[in-house]
Amino acid sequence: MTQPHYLIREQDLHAYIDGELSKPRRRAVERFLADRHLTLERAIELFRTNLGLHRYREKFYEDQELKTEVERLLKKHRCAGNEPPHFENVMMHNRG
Amino acid sequence: MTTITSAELQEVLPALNRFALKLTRNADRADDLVQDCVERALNKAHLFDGQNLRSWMFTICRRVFLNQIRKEKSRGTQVDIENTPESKFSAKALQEDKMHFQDVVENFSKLPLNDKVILSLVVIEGLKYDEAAAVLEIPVGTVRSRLSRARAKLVELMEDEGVEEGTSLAAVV
Repeated sequence: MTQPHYLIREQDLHAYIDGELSKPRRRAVERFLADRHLTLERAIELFRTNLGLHRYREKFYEDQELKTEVERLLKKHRCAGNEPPHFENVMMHNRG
Repeated sequence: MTTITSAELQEVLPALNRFALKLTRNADRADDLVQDCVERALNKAHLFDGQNLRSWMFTICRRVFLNQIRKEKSRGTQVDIENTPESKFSAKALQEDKMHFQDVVENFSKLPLNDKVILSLVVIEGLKYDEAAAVLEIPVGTVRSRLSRARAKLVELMEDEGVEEGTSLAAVV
């Protein structure tokens, strides 16, 4: 069976890192990465940047303007009947 | 049922090793990751569609690595750069990691507020793209483009040089 063709762009790489792609598109990005060393390096750099952002969460929120805005938006998210986001749960769990 | 032969696995292993090493930045951890991937691939061989073993193994590797990171986070046993014994993480890798994360912290502060907010919501807080779009009252496509620009900008600041962006990376696969 012939595989469909996908145009892979920078945004697809970011969506791949964030786990936001459909299964066929994710596979297309993985095929793309498997064949391109430089792009693979870029994907890993983006992934490591994500890890850095997770690790130093508290440091970033020393910026009061950012903290206030993110808290406002997360409150809005919860008020819409959503569960707290995954990573917020993790942080709360770790604090406990 | 699809079977995976030892020869097919051997062919994929060098690329898988390189991928694991780049993810973990540590030879011991990379070996463990590859070992886990191979075990999982053999146990789940019936799920392999027989088309591209390398791509399938990369998928497994990425998932196993992500699971390890999530488990470390949920157990509250994140890597402590200062106190982790060298037997687990080499001094060079630790130093590189530490510098990398210092770069992330330093350069994140240089981003405009809008970029920091989108990165915080999706990357730090874990909102899905559609959830971030809802709270920001913007289309999902705008979240997608704003996020990729913000993160690319952050990486660019860290590299202190231009990065490929947009259509320059486009390819059809």
